[in-house]
Amino acid sequence: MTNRTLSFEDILYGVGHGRMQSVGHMGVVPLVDEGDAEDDYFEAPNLRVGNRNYGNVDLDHQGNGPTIVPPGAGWVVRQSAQDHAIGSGVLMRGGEHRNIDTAFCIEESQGGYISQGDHDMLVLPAAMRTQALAMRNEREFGKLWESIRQFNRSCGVSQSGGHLVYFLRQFEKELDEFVAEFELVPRQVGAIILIGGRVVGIERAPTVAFWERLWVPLVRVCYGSMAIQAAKLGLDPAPRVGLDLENPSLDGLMAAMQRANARAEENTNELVTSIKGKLLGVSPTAEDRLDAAKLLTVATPSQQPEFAGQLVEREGRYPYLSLVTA
Amino acid sequence: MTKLMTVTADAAVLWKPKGTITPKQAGEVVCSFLDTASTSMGRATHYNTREEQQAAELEAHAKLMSLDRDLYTALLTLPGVLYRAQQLGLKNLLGTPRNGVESFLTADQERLVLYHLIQSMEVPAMMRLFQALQVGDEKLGIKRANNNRTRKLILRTLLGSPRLQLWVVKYRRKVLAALKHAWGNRRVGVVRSILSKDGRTWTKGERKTVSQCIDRFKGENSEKYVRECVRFVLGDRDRLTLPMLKAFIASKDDLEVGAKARLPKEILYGIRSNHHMTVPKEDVLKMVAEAGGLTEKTKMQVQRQAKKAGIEVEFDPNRYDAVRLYLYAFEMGLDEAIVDALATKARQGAAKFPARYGKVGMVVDGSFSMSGDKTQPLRPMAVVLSLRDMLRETAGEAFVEYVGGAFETEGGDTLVRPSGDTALADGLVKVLTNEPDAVYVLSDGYENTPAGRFAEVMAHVRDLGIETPIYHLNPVFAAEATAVRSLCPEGVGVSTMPVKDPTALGVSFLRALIETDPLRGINSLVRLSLTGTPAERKVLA
Repeated sequence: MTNRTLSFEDILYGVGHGRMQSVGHMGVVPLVDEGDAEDDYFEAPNLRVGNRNYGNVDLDHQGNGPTIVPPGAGWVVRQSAQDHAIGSGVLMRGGEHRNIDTAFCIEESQGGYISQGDHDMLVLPAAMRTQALAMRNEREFGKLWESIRQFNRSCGVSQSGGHLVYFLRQFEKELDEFVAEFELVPRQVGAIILIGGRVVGIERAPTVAFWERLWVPLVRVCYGSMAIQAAKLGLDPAPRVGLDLENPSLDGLMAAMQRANARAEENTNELVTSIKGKLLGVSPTAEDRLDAAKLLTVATPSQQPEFAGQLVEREGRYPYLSLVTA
Repeated sequence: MTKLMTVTADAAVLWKPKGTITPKQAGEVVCSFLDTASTSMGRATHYNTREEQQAAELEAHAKLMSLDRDLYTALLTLPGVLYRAQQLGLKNLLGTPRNGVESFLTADQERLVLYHLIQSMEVPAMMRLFQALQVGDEKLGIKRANNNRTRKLILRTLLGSPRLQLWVVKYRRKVLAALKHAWGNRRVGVVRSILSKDGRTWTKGERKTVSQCIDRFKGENSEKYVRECVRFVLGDRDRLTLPMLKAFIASKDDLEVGAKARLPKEILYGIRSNHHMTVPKEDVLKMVAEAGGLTEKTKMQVQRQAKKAGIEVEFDPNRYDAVRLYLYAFEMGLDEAIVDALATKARQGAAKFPARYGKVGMVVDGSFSMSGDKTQPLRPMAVVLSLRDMLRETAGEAFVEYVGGAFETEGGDTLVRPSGDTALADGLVKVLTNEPDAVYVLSDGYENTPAGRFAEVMAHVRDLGIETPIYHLNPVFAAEATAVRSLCPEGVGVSTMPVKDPTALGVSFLRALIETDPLRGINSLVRLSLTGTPAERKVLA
């Protein structure tokens, strides 16, 4: 499928990183603009969403400039209507209307169409995103139900069925906590997300404002769901550097903290360096185009890819990336 | 806790637990109530849904009321208890008869406390309370209060108020609803019919009805004044003599008449949109401002609108509390007048604070989560900055370490906007190196670089024999524990206190006393509640 590769070094050009934030099973390394990383050609998605058929989603971008609708974007609505999501990302012009006829239902036995409105966007749990991406061109609206059922079972959701909303309701409190626990830092344009010390996602947005719009859907459901799964499975929480008090005094405690902070920083630097050394295979065909921008599906090149997702390439740079563990 | 002996903790015992309840158990019930009554606003925080917050609130109220009705009544009047908690308390008390229960209040004293609570509410809150009294929900444990006591309270509060004329114009639907609750629909019709006639033609029965329904509740108002206001609310717009009521009618032809009569701007906006649609909203604001009709509260609220329309509306920042001033400053910026007002508020708050230390350290959490939820944007940060200012004034010397935050004041640290991650432990150790007499950690309780570091450091600090009192002051209520989120497990020597209103921090300190000496702490709180400034309270002392 792939005939070219990209390096993360190139993809993350102009992007530095901040201090790791670590709570429970999840860790987040903020990716920050070092001065030249932002691409203000794209603005954050500002969508009105609805549908008139199952397996379809009508997107209306309310902004003036082009935007990127992330892969795995979904809408769980309060109406008596069947919640929907999309597998592949979408590039849209300012004011454009698009109908996506490869969308899928994420609420198995609920009927009804979604009335057009400003519905909150989520991003599908990371555990489902790769499958959703793999089935992005199939026109079968029930294609993700089995995946949702399995996911719900793995999280101990009490109600059975292919309804993502069951998971969202049962774990609403925990999901909301993630939003407070993982904070935006100045100039942040992306993040590396870890569960139990293992990288599970790499995200990057074109601008700080775009990232601010995207972070809550990502941390809350997409990656927060992984932390909940990890807790349910009894996995070890994220490892962290403990304090090693050599000199039992306040000065000694200060020194121990400085050493711990320095070790944590080293660990984070090593992590980012190892990521930057990886390559990504790029599919030959663009999923979507908008002027000079192309939406491409990518995966780490191997028989069993480590990561898969999509990125946007524009004029030799990569302002958008969304990768999850495959 | 030895430093806290400077707290005015009176040894006199007003209250004792009854039956098999121990002081410790009573202390837990009181603390749970204080945590919810002084912090929860029943709205979503960053962490919990509204429904969970409400369930926790109701439980805390029910437990305290069940423990001791008079204790519950008294504690509702403490500084820092939010209107929401007072509303719930009033519903519970009005909806449940005393049945001869007397602890340390008589029935009359309870009634005086209830009146004080209602009269100290903002008018919209009071009107909402009157409506809410009609509605109960057994499943949720919300009482319905529809009894003689409640009816008298509503009527006395409304008809006895010198502001009745303003209220019937500004809140006429709500006043009507309250009268319907108090009188019943049939009697409303009867009263309306009687008042529409010339008083000289009333029968003896009709005079008696007016006397029983209206006149006996008029307080210091004249009969003529109250009767005309009631007539207006009931829909009779003939033969009006009171200036605001006349202006309300006349404004439909000429808005200036209404502005000059100082009709509230909201009323004039409504009249404008129904009768003068071609008049721009900004012109209405200008008319009201020029006629001096803006209340102090409104003057602050309309600043952005006024600035956009090129209208200058001055307000006196000294009329607002520090939290509100900071919220205003986040939106509109700081100026010298606001900085001076903040300094005054800090000194005033410090003067009432029961604890004094020579040297204090402060760790101020300015991280991104202090932005609060979208329904309460920036409020946690505003509370923390107000606390910072006040606590600085309580000490001879203060060392402040900021964790995260972006400074928006040139050359100073007055205004700090939430930004960045949370490394509270780093700030704590830096502050401790100055050897303070006490440390205040002002934070929502979430740390992430990494989580748990603060507790780890605290364990080492105590192992090193450093016994400095450390207080964690938290402006956010988390329903999952029916208490605020703490940075350390119990026993590590950090007292966590909820604080929504900096001026009520003294209550939080007495709450901390309850944990070590429940009986003394509870009695100190009762004494604080019964000897506050309003005249009604002095009767109870």
